[in-house]
Amino acid sequence: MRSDKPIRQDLERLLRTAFPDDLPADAEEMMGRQLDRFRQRWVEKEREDALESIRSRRWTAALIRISLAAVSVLFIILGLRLRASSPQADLGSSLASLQQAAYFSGRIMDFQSMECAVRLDRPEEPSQQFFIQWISPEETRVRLIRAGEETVRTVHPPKPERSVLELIVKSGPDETVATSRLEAELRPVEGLLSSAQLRKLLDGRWRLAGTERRDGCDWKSFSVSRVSDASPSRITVDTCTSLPIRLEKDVGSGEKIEALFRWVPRSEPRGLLFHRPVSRGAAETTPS
Amino acid sequence: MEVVRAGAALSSPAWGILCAGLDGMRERLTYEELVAPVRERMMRIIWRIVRNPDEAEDTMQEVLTLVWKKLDRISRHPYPQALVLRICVNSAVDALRKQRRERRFVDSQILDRLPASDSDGWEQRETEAMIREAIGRLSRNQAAAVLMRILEGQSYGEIARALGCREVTARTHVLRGRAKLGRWLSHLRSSATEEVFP
Repeated sequence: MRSDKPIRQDLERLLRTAFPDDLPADAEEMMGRQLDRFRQRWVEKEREDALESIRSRRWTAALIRISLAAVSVLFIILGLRLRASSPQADLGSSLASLQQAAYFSGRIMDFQSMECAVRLDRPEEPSQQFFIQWISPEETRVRLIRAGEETVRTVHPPKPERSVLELIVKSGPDETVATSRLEAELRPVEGLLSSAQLRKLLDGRWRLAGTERRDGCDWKSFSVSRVSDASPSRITVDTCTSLPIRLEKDVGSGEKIEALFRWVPRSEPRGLLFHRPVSRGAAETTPS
Repeated sequence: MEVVRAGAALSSPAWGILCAGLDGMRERLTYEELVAPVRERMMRIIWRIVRNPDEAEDTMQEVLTLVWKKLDRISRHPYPQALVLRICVNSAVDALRKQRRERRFVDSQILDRLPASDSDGWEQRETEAMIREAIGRLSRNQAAAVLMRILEGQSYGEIARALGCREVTARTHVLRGRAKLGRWLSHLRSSATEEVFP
């Protein structure tokens, strides 16, 4: 290694002497001019690029502004259309109807005692009348008047918790009828035989059909649509008691029933309907 | 003012990935950032190797063309100014090789017509020519490493950054290049430096 050092120094001296650092002024000036020209072109290119970038950015900004304006206008139009169509009113009334339906349904369940006069109109046949009385949740009495003949039936509406066996055991031999084997003549009034069945009948989409003022209370009419029924029921509710007072329903084949309800407080004596004939109108069917 | 990229000294893989991601987002360097700080060194190094005004002009032109062409790559380099200096050395060595090829033909014609009194000048030129030829025979990296080390006095670290290699590799380039030159120019070393370049 020691012997290499002088050789290396010799070589370095040789190279430094062969490539001296003696840049002449004319060569420096010439290369300096080259570099200046290069710098000038570089700066021009940078300026062009900057202008191009600004132009591009302007276009982008303009495009964004136009898009935002278009979106704003679209939203304004949508807002105006929504306002014009007043969806809040529809939604509100729908919710109110739903709320009322739930409330009326709850009221029906509270009142276990009800008397009801029903008229069944059939095409080309005399009308039939049914007088229905809920004796208890498990017992309903039906008086049927048809062509001047009167028949009384006792029906035991099924409760969800009761078994079929229990229904058969408890049903009477003659006049007692379980709804599981309900006679054909009682079929039209099947939905009125108990509070559970009435609630089931009224379980649908309630839509307000009209309001009329009676004795200081509003009578509200609702159209109740059910998926299973082709024609909607029409129910009228007394807003003072929140209970149904009239029901009209097409039961098919041109048959139509109209029922007038009388909700009996627990303290009031029952059975009034069974002693008076029924005719059209609630005032006549309900005892004064 | 040397431009050194932030974080270039760090070598963790995560940092490398981050830098690679950021590099794509970096804008080009300006003339003032890249060339202006090494302007004098560029001119000097080209002249020292080429030593001919016309060749120096051509070499500078080639260097500037390369810098402009590779500006994006240079801008992303961790040591862009070191890279520019390497381009200068490489272009100058290329010019030297070209001179070497041409001189073989020209010298054979001119030397026959030189007067006898001009023998000292002839010897000096002949020695210079041999040294240049020897430099031209080295590989590109070895020539660049030797010239940057000996003429520019750059450290091995600076040479490594300019060549884009590790410091050990740069040192190897210098040592091998110097060893080859030592062998090829052994007959000139002690006598020639004293007699030819007193």
